[in-house]
Amino acid sequence: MIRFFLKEAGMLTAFVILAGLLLLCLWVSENFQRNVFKDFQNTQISVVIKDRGEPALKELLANNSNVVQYKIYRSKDNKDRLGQLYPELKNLIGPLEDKFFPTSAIVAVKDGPAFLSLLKLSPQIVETQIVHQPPMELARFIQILTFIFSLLWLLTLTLVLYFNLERLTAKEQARWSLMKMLGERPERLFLPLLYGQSLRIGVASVFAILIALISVFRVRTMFAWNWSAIPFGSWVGFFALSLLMTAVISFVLFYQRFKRVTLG
Amino acid sequence: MLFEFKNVGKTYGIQKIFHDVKFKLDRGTFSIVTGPSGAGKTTFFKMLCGIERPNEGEVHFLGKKLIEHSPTHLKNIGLIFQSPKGLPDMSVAENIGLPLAIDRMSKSERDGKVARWLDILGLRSKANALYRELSGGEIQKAEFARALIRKPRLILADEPTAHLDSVQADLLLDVLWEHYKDGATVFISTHHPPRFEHPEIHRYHVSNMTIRRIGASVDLSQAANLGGLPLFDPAQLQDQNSEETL
Repeated sequence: MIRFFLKEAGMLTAFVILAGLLLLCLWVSENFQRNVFKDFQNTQISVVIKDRGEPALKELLANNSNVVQYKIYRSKDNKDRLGQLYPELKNLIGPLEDKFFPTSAIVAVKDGPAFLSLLKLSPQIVETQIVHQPPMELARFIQILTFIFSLLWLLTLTLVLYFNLERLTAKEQARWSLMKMLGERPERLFLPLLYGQSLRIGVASVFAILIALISVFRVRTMFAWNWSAIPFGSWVGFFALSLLMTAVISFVLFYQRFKRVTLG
Repeated sequence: MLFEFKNVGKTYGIQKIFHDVKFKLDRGTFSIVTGPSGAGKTTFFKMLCGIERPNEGEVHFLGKKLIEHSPTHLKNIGLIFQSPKGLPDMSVAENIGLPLAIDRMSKSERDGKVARWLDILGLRSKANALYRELSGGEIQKAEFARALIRKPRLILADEPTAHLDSVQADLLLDVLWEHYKDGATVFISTHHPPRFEHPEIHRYHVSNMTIRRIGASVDLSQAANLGGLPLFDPAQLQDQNSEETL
């Protein structure tokens, strides 16, 4: 009995922790998409312009439908930006004349490779160019983490429901056998069973949400970033999804188990 | 035709129970299968119930290969097993009325039918007793009542009178006979052949890994007794759940 209780408590705890981690991952992923990737909706290319190449570049950009927007940074702007970026070098940069700093532009384009090909055809305008890539590896890592936690959450949910069903089967097998013999439909036996399972998973989901909320609070205070809160609808959605999955998995498990119950 | 066994073979491990069995059970028949202990009567009965499946050949029910009886068919089949299936923590009346509760029959109507069966089988005083408090014979009668309360069109019984004295056994067989007369198909598997004879009874014997029809020795004087004392009026039982196919 104690062993069974520990096993069930362990499974439920695992479910709560995994669900909490899943919610946390979803939240981080959501924020990552919102804050980092919104800057990379279009390909960003930094272009270093040759001396007196600015008017020609402006004309090129103005006549190219691939260009979404651009911003020119003149020599003085770049000198100031460099000073801001490396304050410790300010004393060194300050006395230098502006002409030692190139004019540049940040261009947002829809099709990066096409724009780079175009620049290669204008070597008299452009010194060099750099394509800015979003941190795809990090994004992919978060996505994979979310996927893994989703699978583990689903697996734990299935195991919790399976062990509960096995416990119920030991108690109810004789009754199920009789009811089956009398022509009772499995769904009618399943419904009362589902209430108990749903209650258990519902309570566990609430605990998972609490854990996620605490974790979110900790992360927000630890990393000063522009975090956005998880919408209330997401909590409700997670809770509803937990109950829906409980119903679906429970019914499949129960139906398979009920089929194996003999009449005599 | 209700059941047809097509070259059925059944083995348990290395022990062969049946080999190349051909058997047909028609609608509206009263059949008794006898045989020594261990000959395979219960296995045969379980194959009719869809609990056991043959290793060779096929069992057909209503023209289709039998895998498992559907809930609809099970509502029209009265199954009586050797071992009791009732729920020990429920009263006798509740156990007997269980099939009607499954059918969502109103409580008053259900109580009426249960009371009638308690009277027929002499269990009125035990109506509120828990099932586990009953004697073996009383349990057997309650199992009987639960199986027949819906007035099923097919009755399959395995040793239905095993725990009863001859008077009580005759009472239950009389009840089965009344159901047969009312159109039901009755199939009984028993270790002890009933004392009565009747030309309409189909007798089978299980031995040597097969089942054989044996000629009925007709004793009309005894046959006249059977069914001569109806223990209840079958018309009283509502003709519910009857299914044309059965």
